[in-house]
Parts: sequence; structure tokens; C-alpha cells
Amino acid sequence: MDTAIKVLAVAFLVLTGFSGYLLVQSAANYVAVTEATGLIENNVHFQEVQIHWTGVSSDEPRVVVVFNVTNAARVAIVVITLEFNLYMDDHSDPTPLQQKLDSLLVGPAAMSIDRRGAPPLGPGEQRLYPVTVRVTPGTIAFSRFNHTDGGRFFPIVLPPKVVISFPDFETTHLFYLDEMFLDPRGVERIG
Amino acid sequence: MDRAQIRGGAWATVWIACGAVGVAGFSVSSLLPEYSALGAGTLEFSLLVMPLLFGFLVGVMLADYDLSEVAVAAVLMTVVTLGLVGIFFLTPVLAGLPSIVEGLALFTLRRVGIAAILIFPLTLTGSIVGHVFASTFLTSGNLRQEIKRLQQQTLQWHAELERIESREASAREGPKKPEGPKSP
Repeated sequence: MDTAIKVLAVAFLVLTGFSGYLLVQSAANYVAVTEATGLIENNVHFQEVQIHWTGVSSDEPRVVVVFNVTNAARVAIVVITLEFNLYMDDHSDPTPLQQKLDSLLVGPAAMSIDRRGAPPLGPGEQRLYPVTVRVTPGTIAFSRFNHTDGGRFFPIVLPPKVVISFPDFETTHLFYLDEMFLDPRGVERIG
Repeated sequence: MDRAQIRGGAWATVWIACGAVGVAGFSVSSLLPEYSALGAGTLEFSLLVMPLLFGFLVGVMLADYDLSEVAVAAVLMTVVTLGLVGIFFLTPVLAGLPSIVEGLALFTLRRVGIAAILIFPLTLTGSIVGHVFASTFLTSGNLRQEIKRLQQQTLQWHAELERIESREASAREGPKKPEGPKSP
């Protein structure tokens, strides 16, 4: 065999080796990311809803919805979006919830972070993500917010939109949570 | 089939397999750049240049074969490449993640189709160019001398054949008798 052909053969084998590495590495990453996107949908839950307000109608109330996220996958993830609408149930209105829902809307809320700026959630880690809704006094939203029954608020959060990404892979996964927040015991305000 | 032929066939199989793995690795990297170490910046390079390069290398390595056999090798290489790309897209299923099976078959089929359209012409072109290149420039000194010797031998044989044919032709015609004076 000619020397030039030998050199080309060695280059061919080296390139094949590198390409094989790319193939295996890409396959491993593809499986890990697919697994993570499948697992995350069952590992995002409502932790609690806090209502921070003095009770004075001129003060701005803050409703904090806290999400509990556990990363059960083998790769780190980042939660880049949590988006939902906050409703406040009015127990004085006997209309079924489905029919009166539009009139209960306090407002939308969202947490959105850039993929590179979001804190990564490593494999097996758990973190709480608070999302705050500010209600401006004197608005329709405030009047809808200010409904209590026995001194307790009854916030409702319909299934929120969740978007996750990965610190190491430039891909995102969007899904709607399979649960809503509706506590029949109500929530007491924190002064 | 003698031992040399078997060895040649085995090496040809190895080169075709290497070419297929090579093209598959770079094709997958360009079809799903987010999972590859190469990243998104090398998409055109991976998808257009690498099949051409690997085709070229296979063509060079199969320089001892006919051009038609090299074309068949390019087809085989493309088929194996598409198989590897298809397996890659189905790895989540093979890894036991059934939750994403829905729509994956169509997704895989589309990607493999795109890969087929892009890879086959490039691989074929590369392999033919490689074969011609190797036949023209990369034959060894001994082989070149052997070809020259064979060419000279062939020319000698042609010359000898012409001499024999002309001798036989003259023998067939026979010696001509001289014509005597006509009697009155």
C-alpha cells in the first residue's frame, strides 16, 4: 500500500472514531433529556399559597404561589417559566365555579428567567419556586381579591404552564401541570 | 474465491462500515445539534462536507475495485448510515422510555428521509471522486512500473501479432508464377 493511502487510512479511522464518539454521546444526551422531560411532569407540585397583606385597603396585597420542583432525572434542569392565572373564590356567590370563574380572575402571573441565568437544579435536588402576584389597591382586581369567608381567602390557581430547559442542552420542554390549587380550608393572610 | 479476495472483501466491508459510522455521527450532530458536542455552528459542515469526505475516503480505499463496485459500496454505506440514524432517533424507545413513543415514528421517518436525500448524492459523488483520484494519483511506484511494463508488453504483442498476420497472409497467397510468352 502506498504511503499516501496509509496516511489517508489512518485519518479515516481517526475521523470514524471521533464520529462514533459523537454518535454515542449524542444518543446518551438524547436519552437523558427525553427521560428528564418525561419525569419532570410528575415532579412539579403546588407547595402553598401565601397572602401577604395588612388588611388595610390602601396597602398592596401580595399573593405568593410556591411551587415545589424535584429533579428526578440524571441531568440538571432549569425551570425557566411558571405561568398561571390567579382567581379568588367568592363564597357569597352560590354560582358553580365553572360558570363564575371569569368574574373571579384577579390577574395573571409569571416567572420567566433566561436559560443561562436560571439556577440549575441538579439530579435528585428539590427547590421551591415562589411566584408573586401583586394586586393594586382600588382596581377591579383588588375588589375580586378582597373576598373572604370567616377571615380566610380562597385562592384558585388553574393548571399552570411550565417550561423547563437544560443548562447543558439548548432545548426546552413546555407542559401544563396536571393539577390545580384549590384549598377548601382557605388561606389565612400573613400580616 | 481465494484468500486474497476474501481479505479484500473483508477490508472493503470494514471501510464501508467506517464510512457509515462516520457519516451517521456527523449527520446526527447536525440533525439534533443541541445534543452534540459539535454544537449548532457546524451544521452545514457536518451535513454537507462530511458525507462528501467520507465518500471520498471510501472511494480511495476501494481503489482496487471497479467504479461500478465503488458505486454499490456508496449505496451500501448510505443504507447502513440511514439505519444508524434511524436507530439513534429510536434510542429513547430502546432505552425503555415509552412515554415519548407517540409521534416518534413519524419524527424518525422524516429525519431519516431528510438524511437520505442529503447524504446519498454526496456520498456517491465523494466515492467516485475518491476512486478516480486514487487511481490517478495514488498508485504506488511498483504498481506504476508494472502498468508501464504491461503496456509495453501489450504493444510488443500487438506488433508481433501484426507481423504474424502479414506473414500468414502472404503465405496464403503463395508464390506467383511468372507469365510466359503467348503462343500464336
